[in-house]
Amino acid sequence: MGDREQILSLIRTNNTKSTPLFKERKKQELLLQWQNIMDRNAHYIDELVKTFKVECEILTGKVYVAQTKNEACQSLSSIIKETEVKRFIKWNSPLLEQLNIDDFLESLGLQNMLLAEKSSPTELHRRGYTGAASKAELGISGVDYGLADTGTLVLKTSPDRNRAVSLLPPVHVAIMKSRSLLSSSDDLITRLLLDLEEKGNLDSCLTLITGPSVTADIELNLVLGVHGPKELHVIILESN
Amino acid sequence: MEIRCNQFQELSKKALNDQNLQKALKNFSALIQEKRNLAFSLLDNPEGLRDQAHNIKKETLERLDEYLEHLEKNVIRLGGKVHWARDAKKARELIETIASDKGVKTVVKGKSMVTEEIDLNKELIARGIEVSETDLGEFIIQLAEEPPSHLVGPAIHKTKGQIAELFSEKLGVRLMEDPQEMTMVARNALRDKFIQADMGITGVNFAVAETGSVVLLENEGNIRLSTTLPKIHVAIMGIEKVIPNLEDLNIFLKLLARSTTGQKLSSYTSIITGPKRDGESDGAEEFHLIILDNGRSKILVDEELRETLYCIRCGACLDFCPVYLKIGGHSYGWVYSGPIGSILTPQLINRKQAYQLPFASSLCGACAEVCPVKINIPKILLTLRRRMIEDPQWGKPSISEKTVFALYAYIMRNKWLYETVSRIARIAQMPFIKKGVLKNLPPPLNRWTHHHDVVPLEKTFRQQWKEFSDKYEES
Repeated sequence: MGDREQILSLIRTNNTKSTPLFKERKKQELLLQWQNIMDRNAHYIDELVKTFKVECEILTGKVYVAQTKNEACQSLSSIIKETEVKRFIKWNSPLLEQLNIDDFLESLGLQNMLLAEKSSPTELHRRGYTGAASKAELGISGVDYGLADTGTLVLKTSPDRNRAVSLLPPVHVAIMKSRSLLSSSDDLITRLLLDLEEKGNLDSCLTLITGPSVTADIELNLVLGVHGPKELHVIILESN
Repeated sequence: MEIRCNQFQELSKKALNDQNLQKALKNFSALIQEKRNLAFSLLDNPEGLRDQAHNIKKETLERLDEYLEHLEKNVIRLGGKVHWARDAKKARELIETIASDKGVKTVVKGKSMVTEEIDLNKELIARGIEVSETDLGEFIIQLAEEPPSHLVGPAIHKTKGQIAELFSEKLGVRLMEDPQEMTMVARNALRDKFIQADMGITGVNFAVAETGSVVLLENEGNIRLSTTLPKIHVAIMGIEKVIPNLEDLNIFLKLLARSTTGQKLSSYTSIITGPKRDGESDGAEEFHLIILDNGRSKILVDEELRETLYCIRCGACLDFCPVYLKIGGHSYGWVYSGPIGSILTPQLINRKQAYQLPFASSLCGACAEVCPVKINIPKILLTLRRRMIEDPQWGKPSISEKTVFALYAYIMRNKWLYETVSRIARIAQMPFIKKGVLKNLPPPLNRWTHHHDVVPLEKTFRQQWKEFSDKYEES
């Protein structure tokens, strides 16, 4: 008997079949639930921004609230001055494009590591991509959702939004619209269940980021940036 | 790792005399207890959440075979591979085979107790594969060639000075004093390893059956690096790690980081669903999930002990245990320490070797009070104690202990005998009373008086009652 069959038959003797295997879900109900969440959050948007800022900053993150695209770029510019970074890597996402980040960073004299390594990001092999990301000092990502009550960023992975951007460079700047803020992980789970219903699968990797990389393994001393980013900056663009 | 549970007493004695360890445990517990309690006090309904978590584990284990099959089906559908291992040897073989098929030369590892349980590193290193532990605490103890001393903080037993010397000796850097500086030495040493590595190996905090996802929590980012940079990701889980769906995950996410470090959420929670998709530039191209039994199915079918498998390895029971906080993790002699180690170890390894562990508890109940999934650890400790005394399959049934208790029961049932014996005992104790406590009783009773201040026998209840009622009648 193979290991699979042996393990399954051993534990099958215990199966009492008392409860249903999975909860039944209806897509319509999930949609309605999600709509209610969005309506509620739209109503409390100022509170969500405030709570997110407090929670994220407890964890040494820095949150900048921008009313306009111009203000968002100003915040980015001040982060760059303060951290003295020269090389960057970034996501391609609609919000970052709207902000015209590429041109803006170029005007500040920063070097896009993906362009430096090869002509087009999609042509990059994984080693090339990793190599570029590991030389960057600044990673700029968008944000799919923010969770206000824990100060958490939720990042979905896709071909234009790779994992290394928020991981390898020592400074991570995340740019989001205020309407991406959810109140807690409860809201997020509803959204993920809806994704699952609509697409059949979750994304290959969903990363919840709550503060910078941290360790306390040497005599409980908190040290930031042990493996991931040492600094986390979040620029929230108010969505009116 | 080498099993040294039968040296429990010697190891504990050594730990009690280790001043550095005593200081470290004291500082650690003060901080972690406060943080954990604060984090729970901020929850709306912590008791309700713990009950929900308990019930999810209960119900999942009741249909574990089906949930595991669902998990397997979904991982395969996403392009991952699933392997089953009945024991540690099979799990090691599976990982070796994957490594040799793909010509793997270097491995980076995230912190995982289960890989310690199956003693994976030694085996891979023997095959000429370079294995780097990447969690800072694990990195330190790998350099020191020591086992972890805590589920969550593997190097809490080491002082700054000891770590500085270790780094200087093994990494050829100068002696440092600043933990910040030491951490950056580790970061730089490991960053290249991550970029070069052919394979990343991690444990699994939760595996979601409905989506085929593995969920990994951490603060450092080393697990993210291990799953993002190498081409191959091997995740290994015990059969009990599966949970049905995302709603369940939500409950556990609220509890795990709070119990572990007192954080609302860990810095990083990765929900990894299959290998990377087409067009993505990083993430593992190959995803292997290893499902390990290694004695767990035996625990599952044992009604009295099954709750042991509810454990989510948060470490809270260690952090609050008055025994663990004196003797530290190494005294338990194997991978799992503290209260959970005392109930898990005897069930996973040769029972007779670990027979001392369930007795190393004052049954104060602190572990059950903080357990996020409400495992009744004291009850399981008592069950194990009973079996070890009564059942030759389980422990070392002690003839003398049996005789003593049979005699005790006989005396207690016989009024005349009881009064006579207690009268004799009260007279016999006289020479041993020093400053109001019993000292230096003759063997074997000296083992009792050696460590405790035992209060001498006083007048019996019957005597006291008689005197009391005589006095009452007089007045």
